[in-house]
Amino acid sequence: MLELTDVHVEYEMEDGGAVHAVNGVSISLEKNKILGLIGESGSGKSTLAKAVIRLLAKNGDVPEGSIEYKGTDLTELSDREFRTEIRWDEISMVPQNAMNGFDPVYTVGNQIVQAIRTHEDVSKGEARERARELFEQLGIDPGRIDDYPHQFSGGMAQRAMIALALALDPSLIIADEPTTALDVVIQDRILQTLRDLQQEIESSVVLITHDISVVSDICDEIAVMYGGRVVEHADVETIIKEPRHPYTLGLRNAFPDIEEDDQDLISIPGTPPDLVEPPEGCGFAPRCPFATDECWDVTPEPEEYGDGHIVECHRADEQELLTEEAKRKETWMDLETEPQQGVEEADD
Amino acid sequence: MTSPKIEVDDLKKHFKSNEDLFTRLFGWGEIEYVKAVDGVSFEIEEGESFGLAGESGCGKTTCGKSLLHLHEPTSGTVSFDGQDITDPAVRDEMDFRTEAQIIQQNPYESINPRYRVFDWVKEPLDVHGIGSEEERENTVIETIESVGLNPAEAYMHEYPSELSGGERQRVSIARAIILEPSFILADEPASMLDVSVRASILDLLDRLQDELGISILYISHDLSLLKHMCDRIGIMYLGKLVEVGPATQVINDPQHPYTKALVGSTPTIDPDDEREAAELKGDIPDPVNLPSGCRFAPRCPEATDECTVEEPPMYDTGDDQQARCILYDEEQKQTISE
Repeated sequence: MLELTDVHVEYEMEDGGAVHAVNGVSISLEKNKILGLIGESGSGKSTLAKAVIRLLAKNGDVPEGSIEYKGTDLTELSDREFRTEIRWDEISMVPQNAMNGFDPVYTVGNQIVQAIRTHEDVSKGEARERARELFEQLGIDPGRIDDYPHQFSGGMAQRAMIALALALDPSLIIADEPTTALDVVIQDRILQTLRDLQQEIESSVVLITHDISVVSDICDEIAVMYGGRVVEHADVETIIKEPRHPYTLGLRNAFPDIEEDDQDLISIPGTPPDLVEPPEGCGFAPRCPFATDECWDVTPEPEEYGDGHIVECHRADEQELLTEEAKRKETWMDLETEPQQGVEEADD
Repeated sequence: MTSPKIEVDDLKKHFKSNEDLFTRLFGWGEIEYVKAVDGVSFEIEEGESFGLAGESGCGKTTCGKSLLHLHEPTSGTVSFDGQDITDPAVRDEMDFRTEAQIIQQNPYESINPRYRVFDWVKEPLDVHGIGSEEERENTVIETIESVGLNPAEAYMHEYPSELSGGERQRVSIARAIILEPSFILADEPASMLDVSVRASILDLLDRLQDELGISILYISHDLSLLKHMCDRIGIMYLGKLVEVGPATQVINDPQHPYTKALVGSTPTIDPDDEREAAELKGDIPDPVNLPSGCRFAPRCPEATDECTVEEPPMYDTGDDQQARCILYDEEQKQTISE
């Protein structure tokens, strides 16, 4: 349904240079699936999503690659075509902070009605009725449709935002950290609602988050982004249980899990790569405890390891060794850059 | 037995919620209070790490700040090394401001952007007039290195805007430990950081705690993190503790229905894990008009009529674990003092 091929996104800077926020991403998403896009801040996950729905900042651009949606290359549409035919009709978005997503001077219902009537030729009454139905589906009291955004709690505003995103029955919903600012009880409820509605209206969802436990809860597939590239992509089971990329292994072992009793959390040393002048070789090499000379020199190509499990790593075939080693804290310590070694010395 | 590092007894902090000009001038209308912290009692032993958990708005941060006297508590006492620090004279005498420090949640906002790292870490020494100028400088350099910003030379002349989130949080930690405190309040110390550096900050706090023997109060909404870091935890709901006990035990075997719901809602990494989260009804009630009886009753899946009659006390549920729930009344009549 959605197929990205070698997509690049750049942000132009004032001094004439460019930030290569997304560096050649190829990924496809089938109908009726939830894809989780995870990575640290600056990995390009939000940029990629915004490129799809064409909401990049003014200095952002997609110079290369194609974004095919139901057979149409979205990059070739004019802004007008995109606005009238694709955005919200076909692809909608749930932004990270719902409170900022709504205009504070209009009632929530008013904004949903307006969105519906912009795209469809229906009466105010009909649109309002649909808004009430959506409220009900999402577990908000329909009587609050005439409230202003500030009268909603964070969880309610987020649900109202999902209502707005669903208002036109889109086939693809992009949810950018939809529950990051919320408490776990509400987060759980919203994720379940999102999952239920997605199955009901048979749409696809791209869920962007930095929280690996959120994606494993409700996604079908996971794509791990690092330095503007998708470094590993597979179904949920595979990514969580049999990851091959050292970055995925690192993320997995850095995350405290409520189920574990005595966890040795690792931390990945170093900082994310410079996206202005991306270095040669694998972007993760400077932070990777398993990097060889090849990793520093040659950018790894995506390779498939059984049933849609795609990994960009020169050492991905040494899965067992990497998995074992990556669990050990020392593996990631040995490599730590100068400052970290100092800590260890001070320790002794 | 020696007295605990910190002993909080029936701490309350109520904020006026509607004090407008007319009320203030003429005493019109009735003043309403938000009961942010409404009778919290717990102890933190020497060298122990205690975690306060709960949803936003449950009063955990207010509780921490009242404990440090950054808010004047409405009532209740806080004892520090056995002395009542709600008395300002006692605070002065024991140098409370050097003994207790805070690490704030957001390292992007908690450091003054006009200070270089060196000056920011040194300021507490200047304020308290500790050591000579030369001694201060040496202490600053040592402290900066001890939090993993090594060599200090490379960092001390930087402005915070030149540092990453993890580095900034290390600077905040350096400033917190430079006065060699015996107690630190860490309010969501890692929630603004990327997962990949989170563990290194937590490790640093863990190591400093071991080395310096500090007691730490962690405040967080993240149960997985608290389970990892704390010896004991307390779960707060609407200004009151509803469950206290050893961290692993509370999370693996929660007793209070609210704790069960919280633990059940926390996502896990294992995709096969189909936990049944207890369905909580509605949202957190208004902290101005608290429900009568047990404050959790309106949302509790196990509530009975009895629950709305009287606020339940803390009951022992075994193994140093306590829960504020009437369910444990029949089993053991052993009521702990309210």
